Amino acid sequence: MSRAENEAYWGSTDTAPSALDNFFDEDCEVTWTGITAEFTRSPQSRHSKTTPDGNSSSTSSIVDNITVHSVSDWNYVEVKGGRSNTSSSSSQSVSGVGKVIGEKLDSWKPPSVSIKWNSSQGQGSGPCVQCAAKDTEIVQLKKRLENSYSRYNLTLPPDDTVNRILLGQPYSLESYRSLEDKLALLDTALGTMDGSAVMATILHLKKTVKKTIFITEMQARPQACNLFTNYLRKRHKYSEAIEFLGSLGKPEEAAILSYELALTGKTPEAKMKNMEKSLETHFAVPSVSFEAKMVKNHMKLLGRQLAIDEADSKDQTNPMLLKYPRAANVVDKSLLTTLFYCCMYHWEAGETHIGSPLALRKAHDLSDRELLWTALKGRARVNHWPLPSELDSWLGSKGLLGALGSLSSAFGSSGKILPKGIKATLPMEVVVHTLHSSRAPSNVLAVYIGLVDNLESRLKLAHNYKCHQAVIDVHVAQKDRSALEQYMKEIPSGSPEYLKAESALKMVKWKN
Amino acid sequence: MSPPQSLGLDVEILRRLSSDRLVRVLEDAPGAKDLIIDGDLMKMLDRIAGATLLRSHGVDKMYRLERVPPPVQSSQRVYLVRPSLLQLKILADHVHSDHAAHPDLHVHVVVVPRLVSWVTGLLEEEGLYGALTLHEFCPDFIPLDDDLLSLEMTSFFRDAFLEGDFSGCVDVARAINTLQGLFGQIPYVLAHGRAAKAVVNTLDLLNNQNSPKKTSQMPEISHLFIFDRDADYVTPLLTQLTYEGALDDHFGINAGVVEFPGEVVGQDAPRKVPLNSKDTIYDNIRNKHFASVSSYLITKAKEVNAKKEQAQNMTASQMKDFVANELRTLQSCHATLALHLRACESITKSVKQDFETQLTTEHGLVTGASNAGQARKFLKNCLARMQPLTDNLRLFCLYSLTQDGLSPKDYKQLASQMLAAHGHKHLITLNNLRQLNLLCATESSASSTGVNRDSSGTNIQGRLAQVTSLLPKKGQGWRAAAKRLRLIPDPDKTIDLHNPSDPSYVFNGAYTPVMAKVVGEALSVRGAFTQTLLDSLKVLPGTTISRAAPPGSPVGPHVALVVMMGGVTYTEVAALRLLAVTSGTRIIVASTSTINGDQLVSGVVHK
Repeated sequence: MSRAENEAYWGSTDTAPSALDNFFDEDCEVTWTGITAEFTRSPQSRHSKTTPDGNSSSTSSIVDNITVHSVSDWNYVEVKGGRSNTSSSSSQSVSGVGKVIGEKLDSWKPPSVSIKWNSSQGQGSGPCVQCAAKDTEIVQLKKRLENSYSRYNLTLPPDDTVNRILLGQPYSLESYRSLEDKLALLDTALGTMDGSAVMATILHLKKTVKKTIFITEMQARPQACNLFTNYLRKRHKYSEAIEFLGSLGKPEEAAILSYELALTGKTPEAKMKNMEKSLETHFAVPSVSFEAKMVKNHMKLLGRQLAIDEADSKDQTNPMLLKYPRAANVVDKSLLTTLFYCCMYHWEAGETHIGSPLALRKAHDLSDRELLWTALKGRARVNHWPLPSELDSWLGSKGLLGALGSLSSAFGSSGKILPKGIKATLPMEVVVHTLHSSRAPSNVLAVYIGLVDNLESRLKLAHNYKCHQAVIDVHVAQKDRSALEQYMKEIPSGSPEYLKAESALKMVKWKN
Repeated sequence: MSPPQSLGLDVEILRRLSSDRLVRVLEDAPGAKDLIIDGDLMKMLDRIAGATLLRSHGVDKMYRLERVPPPVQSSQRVYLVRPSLLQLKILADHVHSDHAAHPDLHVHVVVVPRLVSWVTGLLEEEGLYGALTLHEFCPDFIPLDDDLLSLEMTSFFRDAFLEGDFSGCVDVARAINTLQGLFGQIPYVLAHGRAAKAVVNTLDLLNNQNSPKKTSQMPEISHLFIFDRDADYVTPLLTQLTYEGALDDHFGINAGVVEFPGEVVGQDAPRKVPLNSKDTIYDNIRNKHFASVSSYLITKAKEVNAKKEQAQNMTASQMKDFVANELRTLQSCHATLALHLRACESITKSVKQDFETQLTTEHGLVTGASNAGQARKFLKNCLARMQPLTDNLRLFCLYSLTQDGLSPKDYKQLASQMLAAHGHKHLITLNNLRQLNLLCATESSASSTGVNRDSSGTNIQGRLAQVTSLLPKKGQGWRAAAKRLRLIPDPDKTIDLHNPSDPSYVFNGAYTPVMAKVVGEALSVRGAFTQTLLDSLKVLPGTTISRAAPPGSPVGPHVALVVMMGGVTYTEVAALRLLAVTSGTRIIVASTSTINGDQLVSGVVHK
């Protein structure tokens, strides 16, 4: 077909046939633009002239895109027409596109197309008046194109399409209409693992089949499910994602996601309300009983934090609040930070007070280790370094084994070696370090250093933190007179520690 | 310690390729324009092109992409973004809000590295497809050093291993394809893992598209190794002990540049210092065990001082010569030495008071030398003391991995203490870590026997289920894998930390990074990979792809490209550098980005 003939064809109709027009619009991008190129063939200007309003809303950029797309696709279609199975030439390098177009236009032979699509309606073009024959043929081809729009014989093999997505070439999924095709496409995409291809094929499947089919097919493809769920999450389509996970039979993941959604609430009150709803609807499954417990704890904590904040923001009498103005609101902080806060401001409060550290411990089942560490640090913040005995009486003796037992007995027999078998809950070396870095006074340090089992390491600690009292204690315990006398040279004479050392020299039975 | 450099192969060319491509993209929007850049891309762009280059191609103002759109001052604006849905939504909101006041504003969107389907999908949904001009900018590997390449895709680990989006593999494949275009088709390929497989598949696809003459080029790289990060989680979880690793852990090295705080540089303001082999002093200490760095620096400093003292007794002409030639180098030497000494000091000061306990715990867990109870107690204390979240998560994961999963009771106890210390919202973080198999709670024995009883039929399915239940479950086979790959050196063998000959020196001889082990084994045999090696890889998650050069074809010099999908640690780089020396191979390490334990973990922390 020559250029003139084609012009004659387009010239004969004022616009492209409406059906054809729609046809282009639906699918202005990909494979089909190859066919577009057949008909429009000549440059862009003609296209826009002949199909006036089809793309009027779009700006020039889209047209630019279309040009490029149809060029590369066109090459592709030609390869297909020639039944060449090597896909290697499917993408022409962009360079020299213009030249390629020219050559292709000149050498374009419609018959190859007609051979391909002739199978159903038989005869080739007769040797009548060429022009009329071609016209008829075009009309027939056009009809057949429309009819076979979705037919298998026109869809590219799935791996071709997937490779095109992968390589960033134009593609279309519209022609994959049978479920079999769609799934083949999805599985091919999953085979390459390219997220871009997988998402495109998932969305195509979702858009075109009913929900039950979509769910069933996705269920069989966990990789796709993971990607799709995260897509929905990032699009902030949480409820859809939760529902999807639920229908896949993944209540655990749905529950976690519903919790995540609950946390997006703007205010603490909204979060609490969301969490309650999420607990009711998603956390009923036994497999997430632990997680459900954690969410309940979170709600409980938030409730308490709000109450504490409410009370403290109005409180004008609490001297701690006046002396150490609150740096930040306690709402939304972690449990231990809340405990820290309570230890700072409500140390003395009775268990009935909302901010009482002991009440917090009771409500949240805190371990002794968590309690002691936080208390030590929280109190240090307000320049108070409770002695082990103080911690003991503060906590009360009931229910506190381990740490407290050892702490109290240690204090009771301060300066003596701890009875064997009782292990302190906290590593004393680290405790001493923490106290020292919070500038605890030397006498407090000495008491805590005294809790270290091993005399050698106790001595090392005492020297390390320059705690005279503790060094003296160790030497006394070791009954090492000469060492004590030696050490006394380092203590300023007349200081309380010096006096203590002096009195120890007189009192104790020495081994040397 | 530097590997043999005699073999050509200049990776600096990659930077030029990327920068030229960037310029071309900018020129696609001719004239003056404002640039709005995704924060994630800043460091990468910095390494490819300076602001001067951008300005010389019409860039006027540059902004970071944030929720609030910057003022419209130019008639064109170019957005440089990652294909992330969250960032693109912000971009779309910008365009909508700007459109009302500035209908003529022409907006270009450059997606780095490629236009994926959901980008166009989102823009279409927003009604912006066609209203914006779309571009792609696909950078090549950025040479951070002669032997270290990075794509600076910092979110790859999360995207791929947590969220199942392996689209970044295509970009890695493209970058490798560029290398093959420059240096020839690599004959020996060993790839293991899901992401690695995707890379090899895409690479094949790209190869088919290359012109055939390239394939006949004499290869300048002989081996290509590709591994997934999930083949070795232990390495990033352990505390780094090489100097470079310690710098990364303490100050953070981003795209080859460290930002030292004021106290280290001896100024008020922090200063950025590039770290690479151009600095010969740094090149000598970067891979040393931290313990031997300061003594080396002090010796060097003494040498410098001695030379300066010599100058005191010089004659006038000697002095003139000295000032002209040596003085400058000596002074810069002196400055560098002082800088690194201060950095050492700063690290030593800031390490936790119980650093030794931390190391003993970590290494005890890995070697299995100390009992798990002690480690658990240490972890509980760390949690109760509210040590930094990432530190606690790292130790928790290491504990779980090395115990081949935790009992439900253990898991629940530690998890609830984690939430108490750092906030309940980290329930999501823990869930993420479990998805990654970094954490694993074994199913209670009651439920698993229940499954067995149900399936104990005479039918094949039942028997199959029984067999599969015997196989190691996900995240539970670490110890067997470590044994099979011989990652834990013989405790009786002493490892010299100061003059290392074994890659395990990076962890005090407690553990050899998987990468160093496998690459070492593979390179010890000339020719195809041995079946023993391939068999031993089966203990790692994922499948193996191995290729060998057809007999008689040119193999080229011994140069290996080792690619890590999901981030490579400086510890691994150091181990591979040692391997390069001991095996006489030039080893080039490439990765989606450099990573350390904190980055790995915080990448999946719920924000």
